[in-house]
Amino acid sequence: MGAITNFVICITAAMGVVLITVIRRGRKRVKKVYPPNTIVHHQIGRGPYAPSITPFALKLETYLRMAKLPYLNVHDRVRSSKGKLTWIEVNGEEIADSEFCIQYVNRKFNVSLDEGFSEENRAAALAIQRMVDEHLYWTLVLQRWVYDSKDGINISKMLNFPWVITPTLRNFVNKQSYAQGVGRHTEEEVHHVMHEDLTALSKFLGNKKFLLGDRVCQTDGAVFGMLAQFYWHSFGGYGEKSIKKYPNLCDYCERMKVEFWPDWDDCITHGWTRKATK
Amino acid sequence: MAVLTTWTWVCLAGGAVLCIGLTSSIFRRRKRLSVPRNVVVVHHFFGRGWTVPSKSPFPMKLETFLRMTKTPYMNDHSGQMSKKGKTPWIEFNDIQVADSQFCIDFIKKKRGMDLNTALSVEQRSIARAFLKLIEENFYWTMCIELFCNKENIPLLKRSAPLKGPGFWLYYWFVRRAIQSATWGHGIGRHSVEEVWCIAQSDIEALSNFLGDKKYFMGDDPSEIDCSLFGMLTFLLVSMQGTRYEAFTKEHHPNLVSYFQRMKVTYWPDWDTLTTSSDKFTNDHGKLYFTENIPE
Repeated sequence: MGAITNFVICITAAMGVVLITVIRRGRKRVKKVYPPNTIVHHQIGRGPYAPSITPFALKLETYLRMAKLPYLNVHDRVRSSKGKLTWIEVNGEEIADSEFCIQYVNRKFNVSLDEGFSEENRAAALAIQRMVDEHLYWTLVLQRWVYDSKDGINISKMLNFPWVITPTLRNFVNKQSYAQGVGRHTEEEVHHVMHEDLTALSKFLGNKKFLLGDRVCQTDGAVFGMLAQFYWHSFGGYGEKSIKKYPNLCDYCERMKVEFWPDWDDCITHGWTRKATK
Repeated sequence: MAVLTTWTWVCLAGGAVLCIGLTSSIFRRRKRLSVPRNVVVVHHFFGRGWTVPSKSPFPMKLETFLRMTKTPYMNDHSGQMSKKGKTPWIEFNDIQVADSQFCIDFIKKKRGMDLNTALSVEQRSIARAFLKLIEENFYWTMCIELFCNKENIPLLKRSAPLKGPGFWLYYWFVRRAIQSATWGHGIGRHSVEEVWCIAQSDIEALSNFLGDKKYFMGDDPSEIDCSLFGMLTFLLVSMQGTRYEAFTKEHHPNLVSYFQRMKVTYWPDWDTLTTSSDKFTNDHGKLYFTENIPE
């Protein structure tokens, strides 16, 4: 018994040391010097079939392209001051949260993609952004990290994560989504609200080219970033089957890809078979 | 008598709170109502408020929907929580449904009705998006402002269920719950001032979309009006005296006028349902719209 206890203590201590080292390395930020007046977009690296596996990094980078702003990517997996995965720095100033980043660059670079749209349309677009980022997002993460494994999808292999941390991530998603509210529903109920959001998006878009008409608005970045995860990063699971019930949303994803990501193939790893060059 | 350690005191205090909670729960269960068939029973965990019929926007939303559709219902103020840990929840002919939106969907299906029939397909999608803005984003900004901005402590003290030292226990528990929920949500990672910026954007969007319309989507009420009214009740009455309320009154008075219109139309008995009023009557078990109970 004594030997077993000692063994367990040693293993636990070793795991603790490894965990702390990994966390510290993640937090360590070596201040680099970047070109002035250039947006430095910190993110976690390219995805297998879309430029990012996180909707918010794709949202932000798509926005920077929509607004034709000077930027460069740093794939350093360093979390922001708020513990989030996508953030920017400009002339040494750090800004976290994709929406705050967009507001910052709008002020700094005098950009307003929503100019020219009516107040009512802009209000509706903001509501769409809230629905997508604060509600549809949770159905996506629950599907990806909790339900897909039950359907036989090896998500850690698909997203190139070590399989040992998948249970931790699943637990984390369960806790966060429970706190948020969506995680208190059954799987069937989550699917129901997922479809309600996708239906609303589909009906709002209709046969328009972009959300508010023939040119993009600020919210197109958010919608594309989220829908891209359903369309390209659901790996044949329920998320992909769901979005394919809305052909206009699929067409919208392809259109945004062609319009703002002509170098798409250089920004993905093609199923982790090669390194992205951009 | 031996001196008790700090941890022993903590355990004793925790045990006392648990006993009080269990006893209260058992006592509340004894007040279960006997309910006629085909009547929606709305379970309010928080009961009626000091200046508002409900302290939470979600029971206001649900009850406004029932009044808008003249659905036979009664209120149960015995304080039971749903199995999902959410409130409000309903019972209908022995079926339990939690989550205000699921409750509304259930009632619509049971009664074969839809408040959104006059809306176009695009309008319905806009209404859905605003529902999410209101309930998944704006609601949390108000919770953070109330419980995480120390400037609002005097306001909370006036309306808190516990006074004196008990207030600080209540404040600590509720604040921790909100911080935990909003951290998971994401919005709780921002500072109180950053959340204030987010809230202003939401209030502006609501006001700009409403414009000078009678109801949110046009000349006739629709489902989104129930949620918006519930949230404005919280903003304009429960949060009276905060910068959120002041900002709305000063810069977006159309939301205030809209709130007053909805209140007069669907809550003419408002004064009888707020505990600060001398006209207050406890409506636990009272039946509404009995004329619509199917035979």
